[in-house]
Amino acid sequence: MIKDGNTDLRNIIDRAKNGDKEAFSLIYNQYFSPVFRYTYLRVGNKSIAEDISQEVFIKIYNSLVRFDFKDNLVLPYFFTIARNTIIDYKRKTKNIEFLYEFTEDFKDNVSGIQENLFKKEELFEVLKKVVELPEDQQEAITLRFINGYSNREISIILEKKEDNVRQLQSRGLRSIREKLLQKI
Amino acid sequence: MSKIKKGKFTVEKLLSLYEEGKSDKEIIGIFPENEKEIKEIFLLFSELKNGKEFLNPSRNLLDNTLERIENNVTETEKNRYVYKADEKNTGRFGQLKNNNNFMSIFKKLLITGTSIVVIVFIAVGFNHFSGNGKDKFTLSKESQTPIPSVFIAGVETLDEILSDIDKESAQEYSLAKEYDNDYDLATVDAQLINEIGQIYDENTL
Repeated sequence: MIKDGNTDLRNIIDRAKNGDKEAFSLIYNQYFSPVFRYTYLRVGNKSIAEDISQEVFIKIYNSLVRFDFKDNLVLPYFFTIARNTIIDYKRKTKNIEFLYEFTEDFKDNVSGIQENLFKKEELFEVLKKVVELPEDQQEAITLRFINGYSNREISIILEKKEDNVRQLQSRGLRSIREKLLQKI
Repeated sequence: MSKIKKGKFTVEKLLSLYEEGKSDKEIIGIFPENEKEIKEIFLLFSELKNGKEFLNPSRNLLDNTLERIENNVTETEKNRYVYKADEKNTGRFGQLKNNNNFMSIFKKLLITGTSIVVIVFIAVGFNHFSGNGKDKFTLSKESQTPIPSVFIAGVETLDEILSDIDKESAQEYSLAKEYDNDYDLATVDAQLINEIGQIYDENTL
């Protein structure tokens, strides 16, 4: 696993800048899934999330030559591209409401917990509540609890203070909990 | 030792303690009266962590994206609107299906249009400044009709016009000079009055 900010990653980025596809595939393997998960919960639809994630990586691939490792960290750089791509996509398709529903395709695509239908249903409900949150709370929760980034990393990605990030997470968690309790 | 002061329980405090690596039992130990809420939030944490395991892109996509990045076009992107377009190949979705490179076509049109406008401007400008268009320029029927004599009577030669301008400017100059003289006179009067005021002192009389 390559870590953001260390020399390994710097070498890999430099190699990718020079057109080394193997190096880019390492970056891709490291960051594609977190970007996909983040995108999935922002748009609530798997195939659209796949489209957007691909677009994000094409943009990353094309802009890597201009990326300056000294001034930027990889993680915020990738997520900024992802955020902008999602915003752009939502702007373009703002009249197409059905795209933003957290669809049942999640249940069909979830693998590994078929043996426990109850868990699957529960997970679906929780993630659906995440999708329904306001965008800033949704981002703070997805990046922390699903992608597993620290609040320091999230504060850099979202360009917010750590306390503000924690506040967003707190509001989001309270809201999810209340909604789930109402359902029971 | 945690930096968090006990006080009243809040989810922010729980999150700070969780970041410090405290377990649910330890946090319940600090806030025993909120045991139920703490347990529920920890349950949420584990549900969300499960999401990480199960929210993954298709294996197929992971395998193919790199390959497709080379062409800057992905299959899923190509087929983005196919599901709607198949039903009825008209309107918005149909158009998008048929024009995968819609943006590039739009850009091309924009560039071509701008180029045409620039070329037209250059051609018109060149024609205007080189004087080539003089011979081709023809007067309309209305403008070819003779100018009424009342206007012709007032027409002067260039020398006459220039001498008129000279006369006018000389008149203006003399007027300006007169104004200056008046102003000087006025200020001299004011000065004299002031001096008289200084000489005539009531107290000294």
